[in-house]
Amino acid sequence: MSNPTSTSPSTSTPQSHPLSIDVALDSLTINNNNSSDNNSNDNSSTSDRNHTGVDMSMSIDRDRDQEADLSPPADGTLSRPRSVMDLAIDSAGGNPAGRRVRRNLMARFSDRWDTLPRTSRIILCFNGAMTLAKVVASTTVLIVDSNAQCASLSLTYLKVLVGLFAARSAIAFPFTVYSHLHPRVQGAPWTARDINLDRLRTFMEVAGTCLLFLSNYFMFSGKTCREAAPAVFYLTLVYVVLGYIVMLLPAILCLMVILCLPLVLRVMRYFNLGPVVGIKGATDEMIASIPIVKYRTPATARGSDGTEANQRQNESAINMSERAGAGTGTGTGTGTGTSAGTGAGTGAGTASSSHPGGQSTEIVADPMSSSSATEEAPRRQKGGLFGFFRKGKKGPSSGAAGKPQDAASPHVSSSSPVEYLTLEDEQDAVCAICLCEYEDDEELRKMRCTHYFHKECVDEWLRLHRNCPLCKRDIEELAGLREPSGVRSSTSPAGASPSTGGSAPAGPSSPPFRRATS
Amino acid sequence: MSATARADAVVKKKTAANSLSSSTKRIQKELAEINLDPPCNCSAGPKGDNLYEWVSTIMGPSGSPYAAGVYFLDIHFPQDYPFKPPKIVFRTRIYHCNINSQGQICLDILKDNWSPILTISKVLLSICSLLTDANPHDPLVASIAHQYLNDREEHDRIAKDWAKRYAS
Repeated sequence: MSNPTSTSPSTSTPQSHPLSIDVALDSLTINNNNSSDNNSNDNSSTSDRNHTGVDMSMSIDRDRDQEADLSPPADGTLSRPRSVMDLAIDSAGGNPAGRRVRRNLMARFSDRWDTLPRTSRIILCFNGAMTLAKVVASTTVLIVDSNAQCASLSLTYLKVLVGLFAARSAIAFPFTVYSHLHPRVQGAPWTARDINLDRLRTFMEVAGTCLLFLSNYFMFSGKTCREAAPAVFYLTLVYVVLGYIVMLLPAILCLMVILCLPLVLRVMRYFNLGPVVGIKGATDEMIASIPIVKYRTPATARGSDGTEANQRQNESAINMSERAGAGTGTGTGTGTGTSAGTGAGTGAGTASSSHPGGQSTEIVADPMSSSSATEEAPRRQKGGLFGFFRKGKKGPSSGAAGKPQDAASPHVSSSSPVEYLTLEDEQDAVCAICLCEYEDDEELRKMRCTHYFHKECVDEWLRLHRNCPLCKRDIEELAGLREPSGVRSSTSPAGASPSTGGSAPAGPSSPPFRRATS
Repeated sequence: MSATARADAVVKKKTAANSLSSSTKRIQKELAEINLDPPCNCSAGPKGDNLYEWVSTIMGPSGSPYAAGVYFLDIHFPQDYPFKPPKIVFRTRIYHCNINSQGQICLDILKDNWSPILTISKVLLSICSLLTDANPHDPLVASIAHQYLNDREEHDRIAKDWAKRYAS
């Protein structure tokens, strides 16, 4: 087979090792911060829980930070499932540090909730609302009609059935939440947990169907109780009708597809159920979170601020942390160093060093904010809003998060600091997608595997497939790789990681960012 | 709502127009490249005026039972090339477990593993290597794959026979 990576900058390999070590360390210490790697969490969720008590003592401070950061919508929806899950945990584990466990669990839940697809969230919210409504309605009706008298026994049966309907929903709901939050990994072997969950789900379905038919039977057998206890009668009727609607849902959907297809398509697109968007493509937030750099041909770079830029390229890998610490410059070299066959200088320095005062912190903040803040911000704000909305809201609140969209308008890109890229080897300065050479001031996406493409080219691809065209690595996975390293370096003293400067570009510049925003 | 939706539609229309011109550009670049530096044993070029319809010839790689044959392939580029893979079919019959009697090719990079950095010359090279090394574990024609695994000599004899009969 052909080897597509041979002609491209293969700078990913030397960087991947230190990063992955970082991740391994982080997942050992902070096991509730890695919300983006779903799969590993799902597999180890049970073992995580056993460690919770131990881990908490280490990560308690971070948890406090996290709680402060929690977004309001996530908080609002937290209360009910959390308490249920707390109870389950307390009774199962008997952990003495109950409050800590609860807090840890809450953080986990909110993380998981953030990673859920929108469809799941809507189903869960709807399910919760229905359960609550059923429980409330049943309780009210039973209280109202508690003194009703009826000749035949069927009223008693109906009352029992009304209670059972509510009880079934209330019992099934926590398991629905659980199975949505911990979905079975596709292709993974069946564990005991999965089998039990599956059995339980089947049992609940069977129970629901039995209840439906029983109530159907009693409603139409005992006619005398309709006057005696109208509330019970009509509530049962509502339950029966709802049950039939749920059973006939496939038929209703078919009918809707036949009668009003455009409406169905529009609704499906809104819920991200489209065949392309939902399965393979990246969301707009994910694409927007990938940093953008501007290209500058070697000639231009030498012409304008040549000596300085070149000097930076040479020194960036070594001096980066010092510069960031002193607040003078912002070399964010993607130190390729000795990587095979590619241009050694993929360093990029931001050009404006003429404002040493207040602006310098902003500039320092930029490279990091485009890598870490953008990952957190969209995850938090992923609520049920339209894409346009999200972008609009994100812009002012978290600096560079809105930059990718805004960059189209010239005044924004000129006012905010931009990272420039110069590739010395002209063979590397070609977009592998459109095969065109990069030109001055063209916007490039800097993938987290340090592969560069034209912004327009790679965006179109990412909307269809969420991997890097060159190395095929999943962009979400790459984003996950980067996130823990940012968290980790924020806990270390500022600028105290010169050794990792060359390998992890985001590492040294993160402490200034933290200071600048807090 | 409706204003944003309309703006969205305008953007979509624009990107559609862009993709058409960008795919044309990209195909022209590939054509220039393949003329300048043709891959060994292969050649390709547009059928007529339409840049999106190409025809290609592959010489059976030496050392394989197809060595004597010259195989013609039709290449169709989709409008959103390079984001969708090109459609490539054999016009010449070939006895191969990954190519069926309609000429359809079972090759991962033409389906799920397509990447926009692949060019038509790289794909043709991949097809050449598929002729040299068939992949009987992911076959399109099960009977040929079975024969390839169990009775290689007979398989090669038939393949050579077909190459002589259909491809020369």
